[in-house]
Amino acid sequence: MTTSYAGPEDPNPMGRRGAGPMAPQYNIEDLVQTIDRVRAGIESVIEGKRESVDTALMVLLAEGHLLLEDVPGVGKTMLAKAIGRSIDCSVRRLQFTPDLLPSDITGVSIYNQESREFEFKPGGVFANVVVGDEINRASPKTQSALLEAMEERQVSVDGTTYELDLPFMVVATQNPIEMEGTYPLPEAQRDRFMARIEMGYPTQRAELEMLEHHGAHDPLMDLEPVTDAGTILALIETVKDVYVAPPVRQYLIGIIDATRDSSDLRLGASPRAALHLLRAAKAYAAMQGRDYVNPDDVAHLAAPVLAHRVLPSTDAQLQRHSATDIIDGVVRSVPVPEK
Amino acid sequence: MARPARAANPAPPRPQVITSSDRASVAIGLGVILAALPLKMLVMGWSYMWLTIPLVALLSMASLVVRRLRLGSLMTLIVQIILMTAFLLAVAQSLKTEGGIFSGWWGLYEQASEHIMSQASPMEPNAGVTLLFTTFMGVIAILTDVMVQTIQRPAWSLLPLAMVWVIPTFTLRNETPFWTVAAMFGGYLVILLADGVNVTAWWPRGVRRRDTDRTNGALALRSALIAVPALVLAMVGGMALPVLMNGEWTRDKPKGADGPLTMSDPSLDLRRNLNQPEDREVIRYSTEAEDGVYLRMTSLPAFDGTGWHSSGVQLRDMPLDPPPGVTSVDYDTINTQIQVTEFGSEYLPAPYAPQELQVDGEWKYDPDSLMVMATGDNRTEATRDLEYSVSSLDVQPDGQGLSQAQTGNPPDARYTVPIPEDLPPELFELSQQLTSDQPTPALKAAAIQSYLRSDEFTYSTEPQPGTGYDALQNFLFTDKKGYCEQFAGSMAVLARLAGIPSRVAVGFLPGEKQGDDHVVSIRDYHAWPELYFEGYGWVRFEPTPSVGVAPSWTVVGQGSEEGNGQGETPEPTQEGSPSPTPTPTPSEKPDAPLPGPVDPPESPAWVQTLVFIGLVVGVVAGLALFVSIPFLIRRRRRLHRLATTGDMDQRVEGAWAEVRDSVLDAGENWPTGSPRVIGKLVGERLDTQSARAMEVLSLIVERQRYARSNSVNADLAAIAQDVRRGLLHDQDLSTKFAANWWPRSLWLGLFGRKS
Repeated sequence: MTTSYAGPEDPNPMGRRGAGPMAPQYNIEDLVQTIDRVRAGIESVIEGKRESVDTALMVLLAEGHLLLEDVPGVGKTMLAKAIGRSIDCSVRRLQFTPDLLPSDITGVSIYNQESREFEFKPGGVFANVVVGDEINRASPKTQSALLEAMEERQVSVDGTTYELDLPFMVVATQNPIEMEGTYPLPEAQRDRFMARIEMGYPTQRAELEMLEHHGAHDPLMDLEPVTDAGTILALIETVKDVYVAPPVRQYLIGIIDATRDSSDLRLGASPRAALHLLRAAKAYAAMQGRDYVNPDDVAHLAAPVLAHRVLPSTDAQLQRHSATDIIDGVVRSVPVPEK
Repeated sequence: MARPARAANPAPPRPQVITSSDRASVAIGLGVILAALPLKMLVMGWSYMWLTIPLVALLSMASLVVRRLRLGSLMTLIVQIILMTAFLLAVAQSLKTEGGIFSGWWGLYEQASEHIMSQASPMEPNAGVTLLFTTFMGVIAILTDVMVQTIQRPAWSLLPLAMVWVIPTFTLRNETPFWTVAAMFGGYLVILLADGVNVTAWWPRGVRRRDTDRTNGALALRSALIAVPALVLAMVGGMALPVLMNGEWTRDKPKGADGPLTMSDPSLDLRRNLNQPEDREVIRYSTEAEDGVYLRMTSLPAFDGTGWHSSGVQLRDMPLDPPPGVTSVDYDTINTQIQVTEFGSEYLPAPYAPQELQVDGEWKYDPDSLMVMATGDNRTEATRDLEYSVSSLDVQPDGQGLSQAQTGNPPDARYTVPIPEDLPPELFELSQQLTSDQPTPALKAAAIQSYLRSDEFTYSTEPQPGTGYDALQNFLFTDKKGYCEQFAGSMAVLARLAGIPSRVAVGFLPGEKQGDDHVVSIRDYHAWPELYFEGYGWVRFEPTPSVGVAPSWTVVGQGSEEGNGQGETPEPTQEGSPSPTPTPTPSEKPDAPLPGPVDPPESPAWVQTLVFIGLVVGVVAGLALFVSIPFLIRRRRRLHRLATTGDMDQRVEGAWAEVRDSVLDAGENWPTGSPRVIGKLVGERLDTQSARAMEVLSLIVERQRYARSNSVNADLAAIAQDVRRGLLHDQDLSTKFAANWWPRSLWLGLFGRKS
C-alpha cells in the first residue's frame, strides 16, 4: 500500500514526485543561471566557502546526499538551511543524540481516540532538505532508519509506505573530534552519501565580514528564495541528460578500478561509488555550462566522492596519508583518455 | 598486442579500408623480400627468391588477415609458423625424391649443409640450399612481424634484416656490392615509412592505455625473448658459416655478367701436373712465332700469407681489350692454331696478349689479366678436346728501352702492388741486397732473375716443407730447392719488394717442336712472374732455371739494337730441361706505330672536369636529399594531418597530433592530462595569440572527444600553424633549425614514445 503524504510544510505541490510531463524543460544555460542565483544567495550567508557550496549544490542536482565532516561551528547547519531557503524548500534539522529513536526520524502511527483510527505523525525526515546533526551520536539502529530513507526515498511505518517529497537531500554532519560515546558510521552506511566535504575554517577576511554582518541579526531571515523545488526537479532532469562519452566512462571505471588495486587502500570504491561519481560528474559538468562530461570533471570529483568510502591501509595510516591524498594519487596514476 | 587502433574504441568504428596493421603487414612483406636479395651473393641464380617471395607474401598476408580478425598476436605467430611449416613441407615434398614427409624434409637440410661445406660460394644451389635459404627468410619475416606489430618497435626490425645482410658480407669478406646494403636499407625504410604513415593513426591510444602500462614489464620481457634469440642466431650464423666454409669462402671470386663463378686455383694443379707419372701430350699447336709461344692461362695478382691468388676478376664479353699498359713497345700480330686434347680446364691456354679468338663455347675474359675463362656448362672441362685459333699481340720489349723504363701503375695495382704486412723482413733485406746496386727497375728485376737462376738454386719437383711464408723462406734461404712455382713466386715477391708491380702467370711452356707443330706435354705446366713497366705493360720474366730460357730482354747486355738473335743465356741449365725450349726471339720488329685500340685515348681535361663537377654535384645533391629525409617525412605527416579532407574526428585529432609534435619539436615536453589541461599548460609558454589558438584547439578537441556532437568551423590548419609559430617564436636559431630538419617528434615516435 503506497500512500502519498503531503507534509504540512510542503510548499509546492508541483514538486511532489518527478517533474511530470508538464514540467518546463530547462537547458544548461538556465541551469547555470539558476545555480548562480542560488549560489549568490547562499554566499551572502556563508562567506568564502565557494567550493563547499558548489559541492552541496552539485549533490542536490545529482540527487545525492552530503556528508559534512568538521568541527562544530563552522556553518554546516547554516549551509543546509541556506540551501533549503534559497530553493524555497522545507528544511528540517534532526539533532542526533544517543536516545534518539528510529520513530523520531521516520514518524509514528498514533491511535486517534476521536477518529478511532491510527494517524501517522511524520518524523523528522519528511522535508526536502534534512539536516542530520552529529549523526554519529545516535545508535546504529536510529542511523540506519535515516539511511534507509535516504536510499529508498520513502518511509515504511507499520506496513505503510510513505513517499518522501522531492527533491530530497540529507545533509549529515559528523564531528571528527569528539569520538567518545559515538557510533561512527560503518563503511556500508558512508557509501550511501554521494560526497563528503570538510567545511574548514573561513578565511580571516570572511570571518571578519561574518562578524560584521551576522552580529545584529540572523542573515537567514534576509535570504529570499530564488527558485522553487519544481525548478530544481526540472534541473535534475536536465542534468540526467548530460552526455558522458565512452572514453570518459572508461576513465571513470579506470579510477574506480585503481582504488581497488591501490596498495594504500584496504577497501576500494564500490560499484555504487562509480554510479555516484558518474552522476556527480554530470551535475558538475552542467554547473560548468557543459552538456558533456570531460575527464577533468571526473578527476576533480574523485576525492570528494570517493574519499569517505575507502579505507586506507594500516601502512598508509601510519604514514598519515589521508584518504583524500590517496585518492588524488590514484587519479594521477590513471592516464587521461585521449580517444 | 595489437595497437589499439581506433576501431578498438567503444565508439562506433569508422569503416576503414586500410588499417595501420594492414599497411605494416604489407610493408614487412616487401621489406623482407628486399632484404633477402643480398643472399644472392652466396649462390648462383635466383632460385631461392622464387620460393622466398611466395613464402614471405604468404606470411605477410597471414599476419594481415589474422590481425584484421583481431585474433591476437599469439595467434598470428602460431598461424604464421603453421603456414610456414606447411609451405616448406610442400616444397620439400616436391623437391625430394626419397624419404617420408619429415625425414625427406630434414634430409634436404642435411643435404644443404653438406653442399655448403663442400662448395665455395657463390655456389650452384641445390634443392637443399634453396630450401634452407627460404626457411631462413621465413623465420626473418616472422621475427620482423613480431618486432613491428607485436611489440610495436618498427625501428628494431633493422636487426633481423641486417642479419640477412651480415651473412654474405662476413662470409665473402671481399667487397660486398653496394646494392646489397641498399637492398637491406631499402627494406628497412619501407617498414619505417609504413610506420610513419601509421603514426598519425596510432598515437591516440585511448583509455586502454592503462592496459599498455600494466604490461610494460611484460613488454620488456617479451622484447628480450625476441631480441636475444635473434642476436644469438645472427651471431652463430655469422660465425659458423665462414668456419664451415673454411678458406674457400674467403677467397676472392670473379664476377661474371650473370653473377659470380667458381674459379679453381690453377697453382694447385702445378705440382700435380708436374709430377704426373706419365708424361703425355696435352696440347698441339702451330704458330707464326718461330720458336713457339708460352700458352698462358691466367695470372695470380694477389699475394698473402697463403700464397698467390686470383683476385678482382671481372668477366666481360668479347672482343678482348688491348693489353694493359702497352704504349711504347714493338709488337707483332701472330696467329696460333691450338688443339687441346687431354686437358680440361676453365682457363683457355693462349699466347699473351690474345686479341681475337675463334673458339666454340661460352667464353669471357678479364681485362686486367687478359685471361679467357669458360662460363658455359661443364666449365672446368671446357678446354678438353677443343680446337681454336688465337690472334695475339706478341709484345717484344727491347732490352735497352726496358732498362730505362719506370715502373708503372697497372689497372690491377690494388692487388699487384701491396706487400703483406706480416711478410718476414728477411725477404725485404734480400731484395734490397740484390737490387740496391741497380739504377732502374728493369735492371733490378734482371738482377733478381739472375740470382734465382744462379747455381745456388736447384730445380726439383719434390714436395718442399712448409707452407706460406715458411715455404718461401725455406726456398730462398735454406733448401734453395723448388720448382717453377717457388721460383716464379719468389721472383714476384722480391720484385714487388723492389717496387715493381708483379704477379704470377700460370700456363704452359712452349713445348717441343715436331715438324710444323709444337707439342706441349702435361709436364710443361708452368708458372712465371710478370712484372709491370710503364709503357711496356706486363713483361714476362723467367727465373726458373732448367725449364725455361730467360727472355732476351731480361738479360743484361742484350738488346734489340744489337740485332743479335742469339742472346747470351746467363745461367745455362745444368740438369737438362724436361722440355727443350728454344731461345726466345729478340725483338727485331719494325717501329710501327701502335694501333688505336692499344692506346686508349685519354679523355680531354674538360671532360674530366665536367665529370668531377657532376660527381660533386651528385654527391652534394644526394647528401642534401638524405639530410632532408626527416624534414620531408615530418612535412608529409603535417600535410596529411592538416588535410581538410577526412572526417571531423580525424581532422581534429590530426591537428592535435600536429600541435603535440610541434611542442616536441620545440624541445619541450608534452604534458599529460585532458586536452583542456594540456591546452592551459602549453598556452602558458606562448604569446597571447598562440595561447588563444591553443586554448581554442584544446576545447575543440575536448568537444570532439567527449561531447555528444561537435561542429567545428575553425580553420584547424591555421590554428595548428599559429601554435607552432608561437612555440618557435622565441627559440634560438639552433632549436628552430632542429625543429625543422631534425624533428624530435619523429625520433620519439620511431623509438617508442610511451608517455
